[in-house]
Amino acid sequence: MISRYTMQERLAGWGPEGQAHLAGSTVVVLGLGGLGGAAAMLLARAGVGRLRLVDPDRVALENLHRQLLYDEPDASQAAPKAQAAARHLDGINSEITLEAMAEEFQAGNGRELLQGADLVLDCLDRPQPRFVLNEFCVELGLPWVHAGVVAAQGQVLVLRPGLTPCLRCWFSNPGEPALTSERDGILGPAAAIMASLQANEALKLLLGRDDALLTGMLVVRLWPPSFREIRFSRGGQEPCPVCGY
Amino acid sequence: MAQTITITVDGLAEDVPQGLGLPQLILLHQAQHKDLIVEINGRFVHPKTYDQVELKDGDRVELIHPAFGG
Repeated sequence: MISRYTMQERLAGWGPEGQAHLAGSTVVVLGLGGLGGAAAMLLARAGVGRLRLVDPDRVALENLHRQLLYDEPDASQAAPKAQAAARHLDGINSEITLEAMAEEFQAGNGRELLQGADLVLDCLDRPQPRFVLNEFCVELGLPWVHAGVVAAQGQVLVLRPGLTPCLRCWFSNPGEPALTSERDGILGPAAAIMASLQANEALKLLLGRDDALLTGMLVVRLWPPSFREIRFSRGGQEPCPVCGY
Repeated sequence: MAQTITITVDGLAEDVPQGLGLPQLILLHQAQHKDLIVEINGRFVHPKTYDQVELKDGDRVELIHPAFGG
């Protein structure tokens, strides 16, 4: 019998067992813009059992070129992204549980927002809260998938405390970024591609496919196209002050 | 005349003086923002080791500014 998930259950290493595991999983999606909306949609379609959708912003017309979850009615009503995302995702998969949290992720509420998570998707739109998330995930031993996008480029990282370098290992000098969407824009396909790569790593983590995980930083440039996986090296330097890796 | 080597920076071949250090290459490309990530031949270069890196003929260098938008 063909079911909603048959075509993905046929994938090697997935099956009904993997599907059941997804159904029992909770993923927190921080940021519901070009990355988070598309990544959440892919996880909802895949049947991840519980998605906590976190974003304090409202939908605006200038979001629609890249934020695949939303439409003109959302923009004209300035709908809260968390609620709009939950409503659209419920129309895509009513079998899963959706929690809409119209809040800004920060140090004060981070622990509460991450409560019960098996995995976090970092789809935030600024550096600073991403490093707050890094510290929480190191402390809680929580795996997460980082993605970022500006202009026609982005990067994806799988971060597993104790097993991989943390965000601070890769970016030792966090501060004002050289690239910003306010100045450099965001290419719609770039956001969708980075979100797909992020969701792909999330599914592998949830399914226990450690053998297939991205091991370095995947840097994607689209104009002109290149995909590069960079291997980490500490270069003989002191261990990371955040994770000790 | 100073000897040159050929390296690839962000996918483009470039002749540079032999003995050129990574900090000088970063300056030449005006890429000296603090969030810069450098990859040489597929491997991340820790920022604290830039001063120790001398470029060699055939090196493939990527100067990457991370994208933190969403």
